[in-house]
Amino acid sequence: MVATPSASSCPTATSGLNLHPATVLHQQAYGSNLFKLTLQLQAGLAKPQPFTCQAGQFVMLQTPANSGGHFGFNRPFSPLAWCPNTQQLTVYYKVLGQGTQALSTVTVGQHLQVLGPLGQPYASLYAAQAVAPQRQLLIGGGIGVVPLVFQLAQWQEAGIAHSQQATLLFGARYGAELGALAPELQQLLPPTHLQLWSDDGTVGHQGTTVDALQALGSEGLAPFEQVLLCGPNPMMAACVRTLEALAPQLTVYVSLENHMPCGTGACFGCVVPAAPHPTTELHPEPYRVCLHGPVFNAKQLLWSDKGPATSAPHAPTCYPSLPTEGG
Amino acid sequence: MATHPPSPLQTQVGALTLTSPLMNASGTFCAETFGQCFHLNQAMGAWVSKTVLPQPSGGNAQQRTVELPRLGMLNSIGLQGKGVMHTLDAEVPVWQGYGVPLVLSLSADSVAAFEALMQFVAQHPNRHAISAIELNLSCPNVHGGGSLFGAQPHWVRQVVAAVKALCPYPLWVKLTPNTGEFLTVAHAAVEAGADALCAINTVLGAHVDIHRRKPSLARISGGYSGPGIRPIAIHHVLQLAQALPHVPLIGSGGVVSVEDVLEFVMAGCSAVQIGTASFANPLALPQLHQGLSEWLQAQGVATLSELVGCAVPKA
Repeated sequence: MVATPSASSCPTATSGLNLHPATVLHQQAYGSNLFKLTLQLQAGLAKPQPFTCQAGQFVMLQTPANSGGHFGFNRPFSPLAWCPNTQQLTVYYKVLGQGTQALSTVTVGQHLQVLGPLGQPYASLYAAQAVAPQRQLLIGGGIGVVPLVFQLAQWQEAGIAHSQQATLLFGARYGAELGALAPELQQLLPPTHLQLWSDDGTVGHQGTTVDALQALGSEGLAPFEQVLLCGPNPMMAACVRTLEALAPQLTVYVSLENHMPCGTGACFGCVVPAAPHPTTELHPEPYRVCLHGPVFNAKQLLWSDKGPATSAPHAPTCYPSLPTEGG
Repeated sequence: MATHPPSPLQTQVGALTLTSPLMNASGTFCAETFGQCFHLNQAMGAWVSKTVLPQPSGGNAQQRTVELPRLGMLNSIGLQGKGVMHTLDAEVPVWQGYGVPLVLSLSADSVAAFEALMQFVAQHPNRHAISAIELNLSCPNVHGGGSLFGAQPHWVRQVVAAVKALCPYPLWVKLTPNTGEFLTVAHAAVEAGADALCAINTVLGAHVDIHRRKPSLARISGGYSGPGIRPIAIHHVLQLAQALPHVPLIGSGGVVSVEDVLEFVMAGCSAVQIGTASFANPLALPQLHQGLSEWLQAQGVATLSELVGCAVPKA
């Protein structure tokens, strides 16, 4: 059965949202611009409670660029790993701008703050019709693989056996980008459930994730019910299009990133235009990626070759308009 | 029955008594998420809604924001929202539960639309949940060639007079600095019935992305906010405090620290709005609230009110 996108109801406060002081335990560079950072979190400042989060959610991290009296915004990151017992959180990120550049300079013992958990977890999207992990295909492009690795780890913690795990297609431009996560992936997945694809062909198969989907074909995709997809916007657009052609029965969930000043739904900076409602054809208000996402059913969004649309073609019609004269 | 002495931070904006001089700036605060999670209501004298329009609006195209390290940000959100009918029916009752005086920020693109908007609010069954109206005049005027309402004294006079005639609440007017006639606009607003003035709204600005070699914002220019505009805001507030000494002022523009709040208070503001700071630090409001109390105590100042306007040069 094809799941229909839900109407755009505003989710209530993410349970457990809090601001946690944290200390850097470990930071390691992989190549010139990839970093794995592990933080020791303390109880929240708003409520003295431990941190908690689920796969699909994200956190906003303070960086040296916005501490010590310097004004600046926190940066959104998807957890790579999270241990509720030790309260240790690991993020894996690529240096893309000033915030991530500043974060890459933090060393053991430094302090920063973690705001989270933010956004809706994967589980909230399909809780009503939970799909067994082995019926799920996970597709990660580059750094976008991070929330998928976290989801695999959460399934493993929940007692899902290796042989019952999801299948992961992991593609990256350079083989080196795949190598940094190899230890995690080998622990989480049997070799038969992992396909590595690199554009330069230095690790795994040569090609993109779209090539991987085409190699699987309709027959190879038939065992799956659901896809979790995360990567650069053009890669997600190409995968959504390819999946629609090869296996339209699949429900595809995408994880989006965006410019996020606040991460909490306040600033309306990180919006993404919404597809019309499937039955009423009314146009919802654009979604806030931080609040309504970051995970969406691909059918909730409007797509171009570059990714989700950046401007809405219609004013929202889901809500009534006050009749005015001359306005 | 024992009566509690008023808090040292209690303030008066015209007829409205607020337990704290701090409130959010319109469009910078989500009561449903971090407001509830962080119990910010204890620090807030009022909370100001995101600007409500007569009709639902999808807002502007992406990219909508640019971070300006150390200075603040640019935004070009475009007043995205569900429209006044949904807001009054569904959102105002939720906001009422927040337990803080609600200031409804309103905007429209013509005098007639402003009138219709105010009339709808004033007659709605949930109207009693509202404590004040803030007019956002930093929006294009369809009958004024698309220029900002707030830039032109005669349009400001017309809008404020039209709204005032239908408004059962204290009426605050938020002033834009993007005009060559700032004081004339302020006088027009007060003469037309404004009970208080808020200054300032964002300053027009733009940013070029040198990697993409084009403007960062899809709409090219947007509103500049954050610490970088504070001296501009203080300049405008001082002008108002000198020219209109009896009009209550609400300051806004780049407040990040306790010292910044005090600057606005001493420049003549009886209340201060916190905007961009909350994006960077969700605990900005309660931290400022606590810091203000501590400052007063350390300085031996009994009430914040006695500092309002103390730095305004005498005419």
